[in-house]
Order: sequence, then C-alpha cells, then structure tokens
Amino acid sequence: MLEINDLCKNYGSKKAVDHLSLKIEKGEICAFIGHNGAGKTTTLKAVAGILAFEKGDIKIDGISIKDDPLTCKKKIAYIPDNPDLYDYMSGIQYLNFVADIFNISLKERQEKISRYSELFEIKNELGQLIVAYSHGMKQKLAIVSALLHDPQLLLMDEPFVGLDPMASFKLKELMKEACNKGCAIFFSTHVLDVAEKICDRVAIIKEGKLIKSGTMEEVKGDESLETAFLELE
Amino acid sequence: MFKLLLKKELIELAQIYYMDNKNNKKRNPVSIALYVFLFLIAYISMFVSFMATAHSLGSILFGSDNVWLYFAINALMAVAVGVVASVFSSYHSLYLAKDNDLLLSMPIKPVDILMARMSKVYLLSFVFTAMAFLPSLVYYYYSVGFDLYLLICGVAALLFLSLLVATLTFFFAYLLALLTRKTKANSFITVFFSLVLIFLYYLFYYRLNTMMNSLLLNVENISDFVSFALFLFYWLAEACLGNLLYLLLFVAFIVLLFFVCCLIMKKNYVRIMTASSATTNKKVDISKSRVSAVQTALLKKEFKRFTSSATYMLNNGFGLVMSIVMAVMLIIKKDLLLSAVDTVIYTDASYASLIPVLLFSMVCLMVSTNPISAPSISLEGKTFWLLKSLPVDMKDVLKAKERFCVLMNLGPMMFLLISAMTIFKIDIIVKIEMIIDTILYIYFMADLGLIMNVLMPNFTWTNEVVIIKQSLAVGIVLLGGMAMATLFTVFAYLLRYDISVNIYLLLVLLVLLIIRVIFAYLLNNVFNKKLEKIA
Repeated sequence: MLEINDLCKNYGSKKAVDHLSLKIEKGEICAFIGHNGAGKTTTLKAVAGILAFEKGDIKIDGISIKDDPLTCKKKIAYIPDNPDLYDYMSGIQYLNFVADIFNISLKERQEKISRYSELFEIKNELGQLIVAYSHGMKQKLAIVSALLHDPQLLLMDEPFVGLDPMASFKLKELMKEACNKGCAIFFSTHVLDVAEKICDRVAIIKEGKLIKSGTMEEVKGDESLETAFLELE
Repeated sequence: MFKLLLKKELIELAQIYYMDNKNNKKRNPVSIALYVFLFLIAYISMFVSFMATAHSLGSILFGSDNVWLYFAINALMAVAVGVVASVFSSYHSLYLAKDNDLLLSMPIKPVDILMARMSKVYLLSFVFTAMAFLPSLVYYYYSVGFDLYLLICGVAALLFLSLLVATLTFFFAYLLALLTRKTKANSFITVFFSLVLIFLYYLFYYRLNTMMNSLLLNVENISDFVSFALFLFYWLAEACLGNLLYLLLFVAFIVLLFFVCCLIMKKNYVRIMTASSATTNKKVDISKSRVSAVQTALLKKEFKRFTSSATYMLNNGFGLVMSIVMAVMLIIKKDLLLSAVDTVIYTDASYASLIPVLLFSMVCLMVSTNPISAPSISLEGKTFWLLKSLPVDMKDVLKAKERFCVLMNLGPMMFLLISAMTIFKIDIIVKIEMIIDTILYIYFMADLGLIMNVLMPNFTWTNEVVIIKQSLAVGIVLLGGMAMATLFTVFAYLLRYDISVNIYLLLVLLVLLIIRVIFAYLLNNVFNKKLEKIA
C-alpha cells in the first residue's frame, strides 16, 4: 500500500530524511519510532503530499505522489501532531467541508459523522466554533474527519497526544477495525507500549536514517520494544 | 506590583518601535530610526492640519467675547479624534491581552492589572489628544500671548482632557467586551461599532465647514447652546483661559467620571477577561448537512474566513461599504454634482468627454481599496497543511479565492457605477463598455492580489494584523491598483482630443482583457505549481 524508496529531504544543509526506504502492506499497522527531531514528521508530511522532497519516490497503492498527487491524496488521511484546524468554522461545518472535498454522499457523511462523533463524544460540541475546542477535542475532530472517506492509508503523527484514556482506547480499536478492512496505518509515537501491543511492523529512525525496520518480532526479538529501541539509541 | 506591571505595559508599547512583528526579532538601528521618523512625519502632518483648523477658528473667535468657544470646539475635535483612534487598542489592551491567563495565575490583584493597562491606554489617549488639542493651545499662546500661570492651566487642561478621552475609550471597550461576550457574531459587532465611530467622525468633519460658517453668523446663540448643553467643554475652555474655578470643576468632574468607570469595570473585569466567546450547547442536526461541490465548499470557506475577522473585513473590505455610501450620496447630491460639473465643462468643453472615464476611475479606486485576495493565501497560516493534505487542486484553491474577491466587489461596485451612470447622459455603448471594464478591473485586482501573495507568502505569523495591514503584498496591490485607476484618467486627459471616449474605453477593455488572459494563464499553470511547492 505504501512504498517509500530512497527518500531524501533536506532543510538547508541539514539532512532531515536520508535515503529512507520502507514498505507497508494493506492491513498492516506500522509504528514509526525515533527521538525528537529524528525525521518522523518530515517523512509523514512527505508521504501525505504536504512536503516536497529532493530525491526518491513515494508510491501509494502503486501511484507515485510526485506524478499524481490528487489520486494519492484521495486514498490518504493525515492527522498531524498539532491539529490546527479552521478556527472560524464550527465542528459540523469543518466535517462537511472535508466531506465536500472528498465528494462524500449525503447519506454516507451523515452516517459517519454521527457514528464517529458519538464514539469520540463530541457530537454535542459540533455546533461550536473550533476556536472554542480544547486540544483534545480538536484532535478528536481531526480523527473523525480523517475517517469520513474510508482512507486506504492512514497517516498519524503522535495520535494519542492530548486524547483522554477513553478516546485513546477507542482510537486503538478503530485502528484495528480499519486494518481488518484492509487499511494500512503508518503512525509515529513515543508511546512504545501502545506500539508494541497494536502494531504488526515497526520502523526506527535516527537522524533521518532508517536504522531498523521489520515485523515486531524481527525488531524486538525476545525483549520489550522499549529495550530494543534504547539499545539501538 | 502596580509599578512592575506598568513597566511591562510600557515595554510592550515601546516594542512597536524596536521589535519586528513579522519575525519577532529586534529591528536594526536604521530600521528603528526609520520607523520613528515615519511616525514623527505622520504625527507632525496631523499636528499641522489641526493647527490650520485652530487658525480658522481663531480668526473668527479671537478678540470676541466668546474666545472660550475656540477651546471648546477644539476640545470636541480632540475628543472625537482621541476616542476613534484609541478605542480598539483600549479594547485589546484591557480585555484581549495575550498574558491574561499568565498574570491571573500569579499573586497579582486583578485591580492592579486593570490599572496598569488603563495607564497604558491613557498614555495612548494622551498622544492622540495632544495631537489634536495641543495645536489650539500653541496657536492661542502664539496669537494672544501667555504667562506661566496660563501655561500651567493649559497643560492641566490637556492632561485631564486626555483622561476624559481615555475614560470614554474604557467605557466603549467595556461595552464592546460585554456585547462580544454575549454573542457569537463578535466580528460583525466590532465592524458595526467601528463603522459607527468612523461615520460619526467623518460626519463631524464633513459638517465642520458648515459649523464654522454658522458660527460666524451665530456666535451668540451657539455659545449659549455649548455652554449649557456641553458644559464640560465650557469649563475646560474657561480653564484654558486661566479660570482656576472652572479648572478645578473640570478636573473634579473628570476624576469622578474616571472613578465611576473604574468601579464599574473592576466589578466583573476578571469574568469578562477570562470569558471565551459565546458558545452554544444547541444540538447539531446532522441530517441538515448539505452537499456542495468542491468549488462551492472552497468558496464558502473563504466567506467564513473573511466574516470571522473584523480586522480583515475592516481593512480589506471597507471600500465595499464606502462604495454603497458613495452611491447613495451621489444620488442625494445629484444636483450639486451636476452644477459643479457644468461649471468645469463651461471652462473647457473637452472635459465633458472625460466624465465616463472619471466615473470608471472612481469605481476602480474604490475597488483598489478592497485587496481581499492579497492576504488570503498567507491567512491560511498554520492551517495550510489542510489544503495541502486534502485532494484539492491548488488551481481550485486560487480560483475560489479569486471568485470570492470578485463576488464581494461585484455588487457594491456595480451599484456605485450604475448610480453614477444614471446621473449623467452617457451613450449606451459607453455604458456597456464601462460595465465590462469595471468587471475586468475587479478580476485584475483579485488576480494581482493572488499573484503577489504567492510571490510573497508568510505562513508563520502569530498576529493576522501583520498579514492584513503590514504585508508587502497588500501594500503593492493597494497602491498599484490606485496608481492604475489614476492612470486611466491621466491617459484619457492626454488623449481627449485624439480619440473618442468610446474608443478609449474600448482600448482599456482590450488592455484589461489581455491582462486577464495572461493572469489566468499564470494562475492556472505557474502560480498553482508554485503554491504546491510552498511548505
């Protein structure tokens, strides 16, 4: 579903991502781990089509994001670590805006908005302007909007930050459900316990380079993911 | 504690000069000097214009029994200027400061925060009041003479007149804060409030000449009215002339007013300061959701962005309101305008052919004052990631911004143009040309704004004012549009003997059409790609 080949991205003279290659198949959940500033967000943004990159290629379902970004973006949903949404819209207006962009039918959007907003307990807040939302509520709204078009690839940057325990639990359940439907999930996290519990694959990045990747068992062996990660650091 | 807070407020005030809002870095010494120089130029220009008004009033009133009226009228003007100039900074400083939560979390009495902020507002009010009132004192001392006692009285009057201005701005700021706390339509209330103040201010200045003429004829009646109805200004005027009793009365009254204002504001200061905008607990009916096409969704988004910000509406859409006002004024003052034009044509008949071009240029000038598209890309700010991650073509994003700017201008500008065209006898072909030229000019301004913004984007701002008021893109589009509108008239004047107005407007149409085609090509094929690459 996702194929990153030899990705390079520089910020001036600094190499943010250095010859990174990675593959994630349909129905897989892959955790992206690394210290602060390792290049996780840059990689995720490049995959989401937000950041241009100097070298390499990113293919989503076999289509290069460089050649046909719009088709790729129709298959993706991206949730940033700090969801800056349109403060001047109400929650429902924002969800309808996203649904309009993805050309989602009225029946389908009503059904999904209702289901996911109830699940994340923001249904009663959808009439409020986003400016009045807390960080956690914005995060929940961003998750709901990301799920509206049934993405084939879900990209998430630190998705559990700011979520209450119940919402975190529900998100994990939703991730598993999406995976069972064939969705691939690629997300960055510092919560290694969560990664260890729900992920099939793990990729560890350090100073822009992928230092280890594979199935969970391949990467951690008999140790915990935390120990394996710390040993590599 | 109050002293510490006051020091902080003063540092913040001084930061305007030595800190660059765009990047939050310290300006270099040359930039600081330039900034101070520009401020002084603007301040001195205003000072001189008020001195001219003082001279006009002085020539009527000096030597009469009603010299006090000279100070009273100047003081009224100073209050109008001071309140209009500082009411919004007062509102922002008192209630919307960024450090509200931080200060309230510290062991500081809220009343100290309020007093320190009020002191800053007083200082600002003093700067504006002095700009308008000090010229009248200087001109009086220069014309009539003065001694130390009179000078002290004058300075005291100025200081307490500034306190009156500050107190009025505190009151208006309080009112504005109360209103915006209770409603969701904050930006509309702010815009309405601003327009009312600006309208009153212009009405006052518009009537100034009439007032001066009637003053000349009716000094006695007017002085009786002012001394009775506007007693405060009578006391102030007498104080300026050295009457100690009236000075004390004036000071006592202002201090009392300020004290009452403080008592009212202090009561629920923290509650208003910490209140977020009115929110609704009303359940949203999801079944009422509507499906829109991508272009419509993007257009709706632009509309919501524009109407959510009073700063955006006032600075980049003020001309929309003004054009409607102007159209109504043209219809009301039709006879006056026609007689003025007849007088001009009487001196040179060739000027008659310029009328359609002049009307067209006037509308173009009004369009130029609404550079709605010029900051629209930068205003995406931190939310730009959304447009980049969604499956939306940047071509469509630019098209939506262009369409929004055109749609906003089209109604008011056509109303103004058609109102102007009905007053004069203009050939139907010329009328059609004027309408098409205006539509093309609106497109030109919208496209120019987008091009400039793609060339000079800024997504890292922390305060939207920097983008809306101080960005180079907005400045270039505003001045460029005005220059182009002026050039239409200049060329028409130079070519008035060589080509008919019909042909001239056709040439303008062709030029604007060519520009439109070029700009459309650039936006769809070059600038959309440039925007895609901006991270």
